[in-house]
Amino acid sequence: MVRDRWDKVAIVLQPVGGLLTALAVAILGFWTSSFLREREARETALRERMQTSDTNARLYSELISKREESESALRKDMFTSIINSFLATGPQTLEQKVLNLELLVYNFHESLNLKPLFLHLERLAKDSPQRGEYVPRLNRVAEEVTKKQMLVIEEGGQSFDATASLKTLAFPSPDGRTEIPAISRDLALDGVHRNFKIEVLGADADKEQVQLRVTVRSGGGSAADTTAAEFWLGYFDFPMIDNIRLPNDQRLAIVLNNFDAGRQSADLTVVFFPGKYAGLREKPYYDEVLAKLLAANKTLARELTPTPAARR
Amino acid sequence: MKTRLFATGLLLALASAAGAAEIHGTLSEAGKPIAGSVLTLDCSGTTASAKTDEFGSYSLKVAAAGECRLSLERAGAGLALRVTVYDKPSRYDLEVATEAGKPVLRRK
Repeated sequence: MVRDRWDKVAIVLQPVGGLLTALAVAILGFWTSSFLREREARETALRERMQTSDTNARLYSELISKREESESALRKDMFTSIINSFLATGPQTLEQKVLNLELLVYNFHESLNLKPLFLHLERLAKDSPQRGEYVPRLNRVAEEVTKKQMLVIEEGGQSFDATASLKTLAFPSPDGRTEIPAISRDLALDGVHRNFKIEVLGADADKEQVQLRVTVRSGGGSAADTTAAEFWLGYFDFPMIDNIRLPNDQRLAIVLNNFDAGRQSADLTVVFFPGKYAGLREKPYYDEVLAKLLAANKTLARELTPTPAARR
Repeated sequence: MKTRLFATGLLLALASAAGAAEIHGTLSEAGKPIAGSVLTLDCSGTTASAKTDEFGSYSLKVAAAGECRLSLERAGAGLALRVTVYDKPSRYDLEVATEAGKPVLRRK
């Protein structure tokens, strides 16, 4: 009987077959267990990293909220003590009053409308022998704050400047030969187009104020929505606080840059800006907040939904 | 002595007047700043000139206030704009635009 090569191999491997099977099972078991161990270690490390990150975020938010709380308390105390100094009876020099106003303005100009206080102190200063010292000081503070606020809101919005003649209550043309009764501009912000028309109705040389009518047209054609407002504008109208509220969380502010009673001229800046740059005094319209949140959710859902190509 | 005092007073008055009136802003065309252009401000014979910087910014100070003429030489054409100069600085952001086929200088 002739045995071929495979029969010889079978004879040789028969005694070690069991041993090889056991060895293969042991290797497979070792490999599987080390794979599982590695995976578990990786997952544990990831979990620990996430926990650390969560802990850090929680700690950071707690620190921020604590700091906010202490700052609010400090600002509240400061505000109460300064405002009481104006309301309390008793002798107080003009210097103290102006100093207190400066403290209020520099610390709370984004939250409070301080125009009444400015006007009150201006009246006192004009009646005082130190008129020449305090009136320019009040104007300087107001100018400084207005410039600071304009720097912020112009960054987020759109603006234009205009010079008005207080003699004719009109706006001179660029060549100065003719005058137009109103200045009108189209401005767009966040996809919302509006037309702004400014008219000068009057001027008060003593108070250095101009009376304006602002007409805002939104939309176009027959569907245009028109609103108009009339008001007196002076150096103490701060754009972040004293502005016209428009739909879609937008604002319109006008700033009086210069008023020259002698030459009967006034220089204005009109700024159209998003509501998020306005002062902290105003609460948002809740329906607008909801609409924004819903729009953000829709966008997110669209981004997360896989496209047909991605599904394939 | 009197002459010296008068001269000092005159110098001081001129110095304070010189810093009194200023216009500043930017010059652009089609939204792009115009650098290196010379702007001249003429207030009833009192003139001041300034060159725009790389961002199109300029600042002009004159020892006079009131109605003035701001001019610019651009591509061989003389462009001008009437401006009002106050005791406090005023901003004039300018742009070169085309109106009825002609270049004009106007406030932005």
